[in-house]
Amino acid sequence: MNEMYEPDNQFLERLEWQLSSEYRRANSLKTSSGKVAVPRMGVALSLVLGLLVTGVAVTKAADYIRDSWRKKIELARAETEVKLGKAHLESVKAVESKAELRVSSGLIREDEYLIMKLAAERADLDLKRSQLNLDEVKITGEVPRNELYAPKVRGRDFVSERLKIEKKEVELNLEQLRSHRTRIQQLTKENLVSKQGLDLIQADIAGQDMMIKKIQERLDLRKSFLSGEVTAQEIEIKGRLIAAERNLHLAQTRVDTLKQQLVRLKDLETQGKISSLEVKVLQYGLDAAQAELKLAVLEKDVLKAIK
Amino acid sequence: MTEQQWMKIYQDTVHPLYGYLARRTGGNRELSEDIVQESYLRALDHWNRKAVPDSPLAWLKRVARNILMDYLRQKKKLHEASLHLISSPDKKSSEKQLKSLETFLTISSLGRKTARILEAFYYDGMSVREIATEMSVSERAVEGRLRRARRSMKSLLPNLKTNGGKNE
Repeated sequence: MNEMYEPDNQFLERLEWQLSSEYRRANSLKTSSGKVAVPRMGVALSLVLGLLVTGVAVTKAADYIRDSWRKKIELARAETEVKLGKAHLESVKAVESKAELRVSSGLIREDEYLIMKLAAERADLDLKRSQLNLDEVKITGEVPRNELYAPKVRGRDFVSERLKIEKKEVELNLEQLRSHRTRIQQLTKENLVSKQGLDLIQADIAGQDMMIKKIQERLDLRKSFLSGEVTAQEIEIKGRLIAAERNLHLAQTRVDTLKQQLVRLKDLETQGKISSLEVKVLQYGLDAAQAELKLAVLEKDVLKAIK
Repeated sequence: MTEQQWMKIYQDTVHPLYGYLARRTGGNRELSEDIVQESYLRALDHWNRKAVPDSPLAWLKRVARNILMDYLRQKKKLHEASLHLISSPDKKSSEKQLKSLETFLTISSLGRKTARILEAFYYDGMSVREIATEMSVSERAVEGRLRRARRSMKSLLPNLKTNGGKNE
């Protein structure tokens, strides 16, 4: 038989996984779909029809109404998000243009203006994401899918497009933090703030850098999945591992920060500037963060063992 | 439909369905894979709400064919499809794929019954007798339609060779 007319194994493997997960997803939706609100008129109409047609026909009609209503609800939700996104962007842009005038006339600092500018860029990204979701819902009629092993939708890779937006958002956060760090460095030099503030920002910057790295890893994984280099099962484990590493890093950062704060508070307590209660509250926070850290380590170890 | 039934249908039908499409797209892998995937997703949605048809493969082929037609129409028929195919690194196979899509579109434009006979004869390698039995018509009627269809095809696509059977 001509090989040209035979599907390749990678495609078959991917498709089999996708169809089995789609089956489970469709059936899980089926059981929860009873919660979707159907207008009373629709129900009444179904009942009237029920008097006219057989019981089987009623069941089928109800199924159809429920399904079409679910699609309508998802579509309405996505459209509303786009409308809200547009309104939000317009208002933020208006504030930004005012801030631009104020910065040019020296009424506010550059770093203050940067906050407005970045807020407008974030609103723009939010709108782009909402538009993406709407495009996907229009095609599928269902909630947009974000799993790394989700299939392309009519040749469009919505998962990667959303990840790119997410990456851009973190890059904006990073830009803002860097600008803030410059300002704090200046204030620290002038002895107006303690060096601890600078350490906290430094830790935040490291956290955001790590987030960008992790998003890029997810984008690369997605690419490998679509090109057939990794299977859906592998990608699920790898994706979870990336998320676990990110959680671990965040938990570690939180523990480190809280430890530093605890040292400072204990110092203040010794000087009699604060009560022992404040130290205790922070200690509880630290204990909880350390427990989270242990869990994150455990999760990562388990996933590594599976891998 | 249980998950086991669903996966069994998939395993039984995926090879013939892919072959059905690949013959019509001239072996365009990307296009065939996209349509196979879309056909199964539609099947899942439809069969979950209604019931599994008596012949799932026939249902899937019909849907796949419609999707391919929609695709070609959406791509402003062959103009944009050719742009898409020209981007392929293998120019020779791109041209072959383009020709296959062009042939498929032309066949589809000849009317439902004639298209069905031509597709069965040229793409699926069925004999005149098999087609006649499947369509419940006489062999003479099939031969007559094939003859007229060949003439129409020749006038629409002068460079087309129509003497073959199964498209290999």
